[in-house]
Amino acid sequence: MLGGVAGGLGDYFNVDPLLIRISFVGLMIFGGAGLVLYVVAWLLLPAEGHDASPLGAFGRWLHLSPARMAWLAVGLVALFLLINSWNVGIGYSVSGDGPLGIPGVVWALAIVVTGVMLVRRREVVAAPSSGVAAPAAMELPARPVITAPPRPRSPLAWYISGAMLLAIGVLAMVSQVAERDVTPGQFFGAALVVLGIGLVVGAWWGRARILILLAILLAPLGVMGSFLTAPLEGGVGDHAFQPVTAAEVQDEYRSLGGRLTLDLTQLTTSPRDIHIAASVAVGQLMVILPEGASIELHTRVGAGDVIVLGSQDVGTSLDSRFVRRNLNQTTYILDLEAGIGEVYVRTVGSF
Amino acid sequence: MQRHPADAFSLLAGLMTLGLGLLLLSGGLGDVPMEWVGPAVAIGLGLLIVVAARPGRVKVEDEPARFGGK
Repeated sequence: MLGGVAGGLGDYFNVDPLLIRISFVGLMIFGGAGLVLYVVAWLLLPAEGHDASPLGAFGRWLHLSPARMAWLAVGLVALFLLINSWNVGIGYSVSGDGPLGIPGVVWALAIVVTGVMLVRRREVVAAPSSGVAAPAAMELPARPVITAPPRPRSPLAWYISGAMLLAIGVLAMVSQVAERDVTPGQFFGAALVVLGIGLVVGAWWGRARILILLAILLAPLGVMGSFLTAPLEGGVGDHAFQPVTAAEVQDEYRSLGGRLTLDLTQLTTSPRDIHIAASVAVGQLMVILPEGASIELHTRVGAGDVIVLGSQDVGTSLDSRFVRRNLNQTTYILDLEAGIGEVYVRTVGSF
Repeated sequence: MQRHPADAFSLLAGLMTLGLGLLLLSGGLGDVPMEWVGPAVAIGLGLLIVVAARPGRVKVEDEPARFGGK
């Protein structure tokens, strides 16, 4: 069955079916997207020896042409998903969860493109070449099916896939040699640049349209990755720390994803300033301070919001500082960062 | 690889992908106002659909001799 769908897609996109199979398996990593896309492809592509897909056959039963059926389905599903993602604000729709944890916009784009594929595939079913169509030929069940001659498979998709991995590897090596941090978004950017060049080449030489689907999947991941400016260190999940003495305070607290809570309210007064750097790549970083504490805050958020003592700021690339000094109090010098998520600083008793 | 008639769908998708890739690679996405992302996606998607659905395209199978096909 996998081979059937992969073979059909391979014929359509004029690429090796092995590449399609690898793509399906690879997409399983993204919350089972490969399985969903496979089922969608199975519904939309006719089996060998048949002139209609399962969905097309259903459309015939409803007396709807395949194109109308496809556009109807695409329109309904895309509208539903876009409206659904709109609820959390269009600016954040790229990161809003959709089915299987994949952002709704990704689903909408994938389904729209699949619909376009279906409509275009139908154009291979040619009308009679005489120029005068008999009335009977206009009826869908009796329409003669002329399959297009097989085209030689294009290796372009393989070339682009290889070049994409090469670009990512070279960028990683350069960042190591030059000792420069490269964000996940920049790795995705390198992959998309190679994909884009390959697709432009494919507009005149060879064929690599299957990579449009890959670009649609990588684009939102790249956008999200570009906001992951916080260090990708630490564990995943909810972690809470409540140091009591200055000796228990760590210089750094890191979390890859989840909620990191740093409660400093039980900390005994220290004659020295307390320096702490804390970050969450994706999630919430909460710091609870004693009432009236002297603080020097530096907060950075890639995308999300910052709440400092009741003052909130929402957006992207947020970078702010806050200073409050009280005499005879320990000064907390905090460097707080969240990639995608929230930095929340409050005093005990306030929410 | 054989040359074929210009495929505007691939060209447009490629240019959009290339543009986004360069933006991400430069690390400049943080300066992009996020309220424009939704409209930009809608415009890009609309262009792709218009290009894909436009009539009067010539397929390579129809004119093999013109482009050196067999």
